[in-house]
Amino acid sequence: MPDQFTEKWDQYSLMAELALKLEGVSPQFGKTVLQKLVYILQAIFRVPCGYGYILYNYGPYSEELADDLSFFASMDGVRVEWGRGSGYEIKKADKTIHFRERGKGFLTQYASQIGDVIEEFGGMNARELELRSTIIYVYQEEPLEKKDMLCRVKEIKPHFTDSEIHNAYQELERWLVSPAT
Amino acid sequence: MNKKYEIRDPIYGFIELDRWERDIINHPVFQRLRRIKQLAWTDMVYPGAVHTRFEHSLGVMHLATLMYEKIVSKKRGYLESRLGYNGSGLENDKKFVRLAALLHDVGHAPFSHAGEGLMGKNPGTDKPYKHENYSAAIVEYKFKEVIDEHPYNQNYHITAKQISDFLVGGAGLGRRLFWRSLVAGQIDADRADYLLRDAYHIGTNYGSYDLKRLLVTLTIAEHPETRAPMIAVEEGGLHAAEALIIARYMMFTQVYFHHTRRAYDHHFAGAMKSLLFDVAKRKTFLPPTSLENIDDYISWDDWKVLGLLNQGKGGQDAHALKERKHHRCVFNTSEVPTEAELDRSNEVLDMLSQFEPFVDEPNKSWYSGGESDIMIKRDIAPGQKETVPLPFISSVVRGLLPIRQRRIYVSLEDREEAELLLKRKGC
Repeated sequence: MPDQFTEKWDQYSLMAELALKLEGVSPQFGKTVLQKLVYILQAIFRVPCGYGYILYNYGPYSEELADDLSFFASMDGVRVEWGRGSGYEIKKADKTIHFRERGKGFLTQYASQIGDVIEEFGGMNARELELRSTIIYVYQEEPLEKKDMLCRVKEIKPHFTDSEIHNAYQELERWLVSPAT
Repeated sequence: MNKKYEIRDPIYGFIELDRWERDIINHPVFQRLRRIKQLAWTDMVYPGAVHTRFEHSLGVMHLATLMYEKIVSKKRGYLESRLGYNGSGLENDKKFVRLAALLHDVGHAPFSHAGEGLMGKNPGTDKPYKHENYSAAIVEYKFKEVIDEHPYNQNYHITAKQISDFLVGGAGLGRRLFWRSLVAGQIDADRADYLLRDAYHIGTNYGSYDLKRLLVTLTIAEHPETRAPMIAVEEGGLHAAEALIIARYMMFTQVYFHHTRRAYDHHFAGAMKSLLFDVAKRKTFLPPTSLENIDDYISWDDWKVLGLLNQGKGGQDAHALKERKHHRCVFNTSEVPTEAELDRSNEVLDMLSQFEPFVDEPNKSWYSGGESDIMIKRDIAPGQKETVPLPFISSVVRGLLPIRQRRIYVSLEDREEAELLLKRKGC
């Protein structure tokens, strides 16, 4: 039986860090982008964020992360706004820097991985990340031959063109073959 | 001829099924759901809560079908042009959704969610398995024959593996991913059924919402960010969608997170742990990774547990269950605690350490924004529509903050002393 409370300061600090670092880098740092970047951090860069993912409407999705974001926003850790016609935006709030400091140990330990994710994927929009994270998810579940992989992704994501899927796969190949450790 | 059968249901009147579905329902592993109470030990607080996963599973199949039919009748053209469906494809996926909905809960442990704490760690996620993982494995290992080889399947070619993927969000889903939110989403048939059903059996009105209105306003929209197609609600169903979220909030705060009910979850988990060790010399259920493990897992149901408890097994926690002498909550934060309250809860826990307390953290978001948003499709000008998430136009939903309450319980014997100590310390 639990005799200690679950602490999530590391996860909150990561959200704070992303909100701060992606300002001016991400075309729109929203809920979908957060979901996919944390997924990539876990799946490719092996950062232990502790979230379980399933395949959902727009690719890998963690309900627990969505809930953590809502609670973090209620503590003024970030502001989450909906822009008409453009989707969600996560922005820094009054306590963002405070919460980043609270999880400094975690952020320091995984600074290079977080930096790499921001560099490689931080400039992508939600749609680009939806496709890339889905490819990673499919690969991690069952590494298939390239042709079969592309077919499976197309079945799941029929609203992407064949060339979009092919190009995204090409970009990701190095991560799929040799995940960072 | 595909003969139809009907089962009487307290929520919908009658639930219709065909021979294939009847054969699945008659499978012993599905019948096991008659021996798993939907709300575990909730009847210790609300005596009417003795219904089972069996009737809920039938209800989810029925409701998922109604949702599916409403969407198809309204958006057939879109489904054909954007997702490549034709008439037989839509009939095929309707059957698929029915079967997946029917089987979505076959993996529950004894006493439903109360038994989930005894599931072992999944090496893939480094987190405990969930009942969905067991449901998926049970469908593959135990229902393969009655699905894959059933004579009625000749026209459908549905496989147990496809249903298993559907239940856990596996990569083999294909375009059926689109329909997954009918079984696992914020306005899914699962939630829509359990709110009405639990409220009915408990005798509360908290779970009520306008199901008929919700059904006729279901539609398809495209997400403004990713343009991915998704199930949405027309503006006319805005308040029905709000009501469902509020019903969920009320049911969780008043029923599922009731402080006494949660204490019984704790005692059941303790008793179950003791029984597992007594019977199988294990601390957790076997993982859902082989037929042998699954056979062992499904041998556990409420009847088996109650039989063992009745033999005097299960330790101190079994005694608490039998005598209704549960631990008492002596400290709790607000439902939506501040950072200071979270820190304070740890200090209080330290203060009470001599009493060997246990902690409880009921946490839930009434509304998960983002990928699982309920999207509302509304008119903004003649012939022009926009799709927005429910909280954007609903101040009620926007104001429902996620619960992250923290509670500390001590034994009935220690309660007075613990409360005195906290009073002396100004808590």
